[in-house]
Amino acid sequence: MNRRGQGIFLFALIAGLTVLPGILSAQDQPPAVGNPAPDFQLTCLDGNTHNLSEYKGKIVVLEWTNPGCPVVQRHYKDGLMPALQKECLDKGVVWLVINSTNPGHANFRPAEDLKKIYADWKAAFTGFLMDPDGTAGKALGAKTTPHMFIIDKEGKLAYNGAVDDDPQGTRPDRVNYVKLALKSMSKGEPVATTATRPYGCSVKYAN
Amino acid sequence: MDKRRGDGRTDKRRGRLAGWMLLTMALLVVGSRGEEKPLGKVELLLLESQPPSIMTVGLHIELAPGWHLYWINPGDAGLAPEITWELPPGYEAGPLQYPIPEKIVSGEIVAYGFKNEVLIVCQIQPAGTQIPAKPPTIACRLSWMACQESCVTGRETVKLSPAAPTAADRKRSKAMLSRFGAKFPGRLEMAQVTAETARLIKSSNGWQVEFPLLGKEAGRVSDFFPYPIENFVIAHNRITVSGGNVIIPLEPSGPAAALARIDGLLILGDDAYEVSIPVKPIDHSS
Repeated sequence: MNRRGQGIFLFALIAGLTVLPGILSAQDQPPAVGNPAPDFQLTCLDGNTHNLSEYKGKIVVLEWTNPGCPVVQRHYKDGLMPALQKECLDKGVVWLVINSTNPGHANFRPAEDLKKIYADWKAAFTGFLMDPDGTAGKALGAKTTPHMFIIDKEGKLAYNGAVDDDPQGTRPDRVNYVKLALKSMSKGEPVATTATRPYGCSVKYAN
Repeated sequence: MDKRRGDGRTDKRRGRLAGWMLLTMALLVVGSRGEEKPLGKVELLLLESQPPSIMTVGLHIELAPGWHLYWINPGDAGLAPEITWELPPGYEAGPLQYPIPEKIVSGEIVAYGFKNEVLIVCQIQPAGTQIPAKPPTIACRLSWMACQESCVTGRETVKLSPAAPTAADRKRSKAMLSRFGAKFPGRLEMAQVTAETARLIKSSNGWQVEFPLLGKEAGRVSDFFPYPIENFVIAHNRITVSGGNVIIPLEPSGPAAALARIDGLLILGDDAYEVSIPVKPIDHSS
């Protein structure tokens, strides 16, 4: 392995996932809506680690991202994702951005680059977590970037899918599934749309 | 190169030439990395014309090596091409017809798409009984996503003025039809396979659609590529064809989701046949 490969491997080890009891193995199916979300522990861009379970009692939005994906770029550069993030954070929702791009992929960016990119995009979040070996992504079943999951206060999956119904970004009357789900949850009402096909680039897992 | 010269000038020329070649190659590589161009030629062709005004047109897209575009159901990831027709008043476009896609698997993520080239066909015809006086100009606006290791999105607009196709246009269209003719799905009755009623089974383990395959060639069915299902999310990586049954796991979009039909392609070797099967719900949740 050359020096660059060694550096990437070392980074993956440092920023890697700690497997906790109860986490699904890569062979298990991801949970369907209504079932408990698997716990995970990931390292944030600032170097601290966070467990999903530490946010129990709060509504959590998980946003899978990859700054090299043109669909992610559109959501940020058009201001759609930052506006949604801010609206949710203002309402006390925990927002975790997760990057499962494997370090061997051309889209991989180290933490310092990601801080700058997402700051330039005016992203707002509770934490930006690195999942370089993809264990958290595969446990939840993250397929695309972006791919959104909402976890309710009891730790159960309340929504899984696309951020909205506008894959091309051309419809002013787009329906934002995340906003609708959170609105229902805040009122204690059932979420009408709990699962949609996410759209975007595939998550760049190591295969 | 002058091999008769015995002095060092030839060697110096060779060295300079090699240097320029290396520099040119390096610039080409850097240029190509900086400007990914997954799509080559994009053209709109008049494939067939049935008087007085029904036209079969084909959107032909060539892809750079290693890149793929997505099918109408892109699968777990990607974006299906979005096509918007600009037609003169009095004309309407029929449904898009895609060739048989290939399955593109990356770990647990399954996509359906096309490599090298694709021809998307559509019939343009008068919307009513009145026949427009002159052949129209047709424009097609395409929004696309193409992926290789990374993905690129883009938009193209292509036009066709079918008023007076040249001999070269006719020759090209004929060649295109000949090349792509066998690449489109056939009707199920051609396949010696039947697929009748499907069952939508709801259980504590999840939902799935199953349907049996019957007929002489049923054992040759190797896969099922579903068309998009409204109000359901398909687990493409867990679709199975086994023991004469097709099983499609899926998740409803909400409590009100209902499924009346399942549509898609049965895959037999290099061929595919369209199926559209009514679905009967069965609840095993107790």
